[in-house]
Amino acid sequence: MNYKQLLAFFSFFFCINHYKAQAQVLTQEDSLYAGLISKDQKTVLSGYGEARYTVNTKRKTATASLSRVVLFVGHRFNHKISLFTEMELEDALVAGQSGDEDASAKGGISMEQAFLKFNLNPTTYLVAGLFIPRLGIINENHLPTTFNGVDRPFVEELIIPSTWREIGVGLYGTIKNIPGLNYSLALTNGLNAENFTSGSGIRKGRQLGSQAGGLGIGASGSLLYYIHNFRLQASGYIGGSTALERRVADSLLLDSGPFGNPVLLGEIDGQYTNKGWNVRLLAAGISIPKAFEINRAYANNTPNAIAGGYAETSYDVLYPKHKGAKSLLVFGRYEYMDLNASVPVNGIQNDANRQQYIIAGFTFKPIRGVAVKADYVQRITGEPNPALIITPFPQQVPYFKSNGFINLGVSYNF
Amino acid sequence: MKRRNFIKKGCAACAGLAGLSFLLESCGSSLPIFKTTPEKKLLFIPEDKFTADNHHLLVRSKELENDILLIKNKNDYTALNMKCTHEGFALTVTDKQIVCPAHGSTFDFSGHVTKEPALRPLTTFTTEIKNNTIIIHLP
Repeated sequence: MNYKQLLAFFSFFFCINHYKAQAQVLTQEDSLYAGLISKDQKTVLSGYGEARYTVNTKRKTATASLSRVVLFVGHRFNHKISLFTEMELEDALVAGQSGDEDASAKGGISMEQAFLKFNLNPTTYLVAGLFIPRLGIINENHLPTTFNGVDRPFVEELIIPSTWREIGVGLYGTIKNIPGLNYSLALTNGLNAENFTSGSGIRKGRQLGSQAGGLGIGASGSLLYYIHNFRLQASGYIGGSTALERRVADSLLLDSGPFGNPVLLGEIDGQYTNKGWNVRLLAAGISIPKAFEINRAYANNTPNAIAGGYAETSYDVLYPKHKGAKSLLVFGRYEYMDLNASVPVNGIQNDANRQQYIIAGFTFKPIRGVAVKADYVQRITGEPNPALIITPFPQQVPYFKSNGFINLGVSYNF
Repeated sequence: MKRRNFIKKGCAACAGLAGLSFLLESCGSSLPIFKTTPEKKLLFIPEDKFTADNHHLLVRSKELENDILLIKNKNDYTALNMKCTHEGFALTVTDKQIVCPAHGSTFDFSGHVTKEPALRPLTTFTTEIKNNTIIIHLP
């Protein structure tokens, strides 16, 4: 090999390696350093969770559970478009799994939110995907360090029913000439009336982004107003509940259009916060005008109307010294709901669905983002309808019209 | 529910909301907005945009994701990014505080958290005054 051939060989070798260097896979850090990715991009991790221990004083039993651990992952593509996701694991172990832990598994895993947010301007944005429409207080504001009591308010679990998320689009913004006034409008898929039950309202009819069926549409809207020390809100929802194709719906004599067998929900709420005091009031109601038709199809004892509300007062005894940075909230709450305020002629009234909850306790926050809770819940209901009791004595689980629960809980948010 | 009934009720609801907005308009005055464009990461706002009655001004720019709340203090100005430190949603300014409509966080006019779920204070921008002009330094 002469020197020209040697020079050619080394030149060829150099070119090959230079090409390989340009084709190498860059990590995200390399790409960022090379300016290949916009400096606007940012990925954020956060989350919340809670654990609880509950004693049922009448039945002499207790439940301990890691109620939920939620992981939030958000990503900012640019200053106009962001991604928000929340994944939730309830009760530590997913039911139905195989392995040596299967016997204890009673939980589930789900997506609580996964949507893209498009900023139209600094105060107006669109969301699209699986999101939580603005209804009630807890539906959006459900982090355990932001409400009193180990349990979420029962009215907001059984009537609203939080957290209620569906697939759709939403528009959020402010009213230009009225400082503090915010609005929201949302279009989502509808409910599934087949899963309505007498004792849980429309809660089990949520489709939650899991292959929601039917042509049903849910339309909701809210006005949220901040003025002085008040937060005031009114919201409403109307949605179809026939999650079936028309052929099947027709065979069951059910309307199958976007608002077939509609569910109407309305709520108003108000909060007052000042110098450690907080007062919350909420009233909500549901109307299901076609409950007769739903019962005829599914025999699930759907009511015509549901109504309820609650009032809560709390005071932060550490506020004079710590101004909320560390807090010890003492609270009391009264809740009332009637899950079958009105039933159709083919429904069965059950006085056990008329419920009152008297709750008192405290929430200690050594720092913001961490809460230790303890409360006592007295649940008072009407007499269960014996016609609805399937399991005869002595196998029937005893029911107590008045029952007390002692709750202890820890929660975090970061 | 028939389509005609839904449209009638929907229109009535919208008219009701519009009427409510009209009524509420009398409850407060709007926060002035000053639109500008950054020059070399600086925003310039004339001091005379503030009046004797109004110590708050929203500064808006197409280049920025969020508005900046500019607050006139006794001897200087505070510039707060109107982006919630919880999940980054836009904030609303009221007469008493700064609030996040999305998840309920509240902040005072120094940018400190007064109610979670936000845990971190609002981003504050450095300001200076030169020749009757407020200059906001963007990062």
